[in-house]
Amino acid sequence: MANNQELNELLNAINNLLNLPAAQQLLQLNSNTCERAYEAYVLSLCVEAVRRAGGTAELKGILSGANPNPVVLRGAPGSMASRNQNFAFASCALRNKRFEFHVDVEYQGTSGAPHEIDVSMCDEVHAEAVRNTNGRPKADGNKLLMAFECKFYESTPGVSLGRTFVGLISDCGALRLKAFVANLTSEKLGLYFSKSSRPQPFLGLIPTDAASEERFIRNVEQELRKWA
Amino acid sequence: MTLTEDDAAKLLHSVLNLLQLSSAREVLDGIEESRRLGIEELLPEQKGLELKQVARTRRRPPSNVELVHIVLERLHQRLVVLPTLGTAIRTRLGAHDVLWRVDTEFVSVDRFPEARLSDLLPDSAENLMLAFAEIRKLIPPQTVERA
Repeated sequence: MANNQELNELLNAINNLLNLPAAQQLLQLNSNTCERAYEAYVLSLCVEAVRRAGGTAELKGILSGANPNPVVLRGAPGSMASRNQNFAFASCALRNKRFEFHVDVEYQGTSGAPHEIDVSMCDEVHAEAVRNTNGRPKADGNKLLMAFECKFYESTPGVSLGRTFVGLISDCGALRLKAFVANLTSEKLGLYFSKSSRPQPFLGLIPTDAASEERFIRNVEQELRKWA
Repeated sequence: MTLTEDDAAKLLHSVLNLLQLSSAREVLDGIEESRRLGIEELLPEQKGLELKQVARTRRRPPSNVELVHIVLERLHQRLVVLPTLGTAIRTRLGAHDVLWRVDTEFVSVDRFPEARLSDLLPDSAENLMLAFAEIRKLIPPQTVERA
């Protein structure tokens, strides 16, 4: 049992944390921003995996080309071909393969239905055709190569998003890697994804847990090496 | 420090008030949602034919002590993990600034306001890590979310 002094110490420590000016800014942050930041973080890990595999990756803006400043990422799902903003993507090369990583892009599933994919790896020739025609990328064949569902949970994770992602993936072609990535661990989600052919779970993936980052980067790197 | 249910109730009352004063509306929503989702637990070992016919898990409301740990985990994600996400994005993408914008032809800016990477990187963010470490010295993390 905690005595009054211990309890007051704990309350004071929490009070000190919450009263820091930096805390005030972060506490009021819109949760959409946290979600978008988590997607950008996963994109940055994919870029790291390309480099570790011996490839190159550079950011390009759809309007400005290489090294856009500032880097503009989608704040909501949208079209890969949109020129409404200078939306950026990672243009990558590994051996003789060229491909791109995108954030928050809509793909057309094999059924014809549209799907939003948080972080995706797309064949470069296909992505260029999409940009030239103002069309929508397809999730079949060798066009969509990897798909990541990213979730920055601010409450206890349930299985509903996992279930939705499994449905989405079933409407895509054979992917090199399909993964559900989240900031929190969850036994329930772990169990759900433990069935064969389900997406690979990367739960509790955060920068303060170096082992979790390493595991994710290595998996992406290995898939890239096998493919290229 | 070992908290009793009464200690935890007093602590929760104070911390939730502080969060309200800080207008941390979405953090509070997340805590409330976690309370609603409850805690999954295994049924105790029992014999009997009926038990073989049912799933071995059930959901129950979190205790006050468990809710304190949930609240601390939420604060850790918001105040410690978010700035480190910002730093990781900046380093790995080699981008000093990142903006999140929407395609205004389809999405209202009111619903998805523009955000910047610097929003995740307030001045003196390192003080947050130190302050949180002080809390963890007093009350180490405990896994409560089987969910």
